[in-house]
Amino acid sequence: MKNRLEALRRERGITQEELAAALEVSRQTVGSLENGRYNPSILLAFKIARYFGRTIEEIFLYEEDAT
Amino acid sequence: MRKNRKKWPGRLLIGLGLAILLAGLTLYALGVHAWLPMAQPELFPWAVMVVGMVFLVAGACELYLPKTRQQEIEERDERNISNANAAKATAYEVGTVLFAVALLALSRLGYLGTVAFLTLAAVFVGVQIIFVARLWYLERTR
Repeated sequence: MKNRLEALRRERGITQEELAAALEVSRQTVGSLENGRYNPSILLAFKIARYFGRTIEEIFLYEEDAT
Repeated sequence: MRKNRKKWPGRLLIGLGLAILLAGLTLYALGVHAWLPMAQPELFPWAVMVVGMVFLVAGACELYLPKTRQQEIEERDERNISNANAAKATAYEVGTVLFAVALLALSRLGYLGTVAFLTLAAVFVGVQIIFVARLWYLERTR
């Protein structure tokens, strides 16, 4: 699933480690999320959205919407 | 130790360890090693006691060794859990087939006696029963 996670993280000027600590996940999970190799659970998606102050749909792009 | 750290795994390990250690001491006191039909039967009670002590130490470490925040995050990380479960599922599927093939092959080649064959077959059936029961429970509750 495509997402804007990396772009949003860079806008905030934080590292993957800092984002991982804030979300209470491993740095590897943040990396996998950013390159689309891993799709988050609904709980993690909500945590990410709340952290960035955005909606889930603004961060994660469902494949049909992306085309 | 964090306040919200689960205590039951450590307590379970300590409980099991104590039970197994006591079982080993009991076996030694009763002198069962005198009539056990195995090689070096005098070592059997000691082996049981060592297993008990391993469980005790593991339980004590689980309860009292401090974990870093990073270690706790890694343990609870959903991707790590998902990967571990997927790996276990693959290993279970492969293991089920390999175990059955090995059991049949060894028994047909005459390397397994009746007791050993039936014991291992019971273990195999037991594992399948646990799989079906767990799947049924998860289907009902999720």
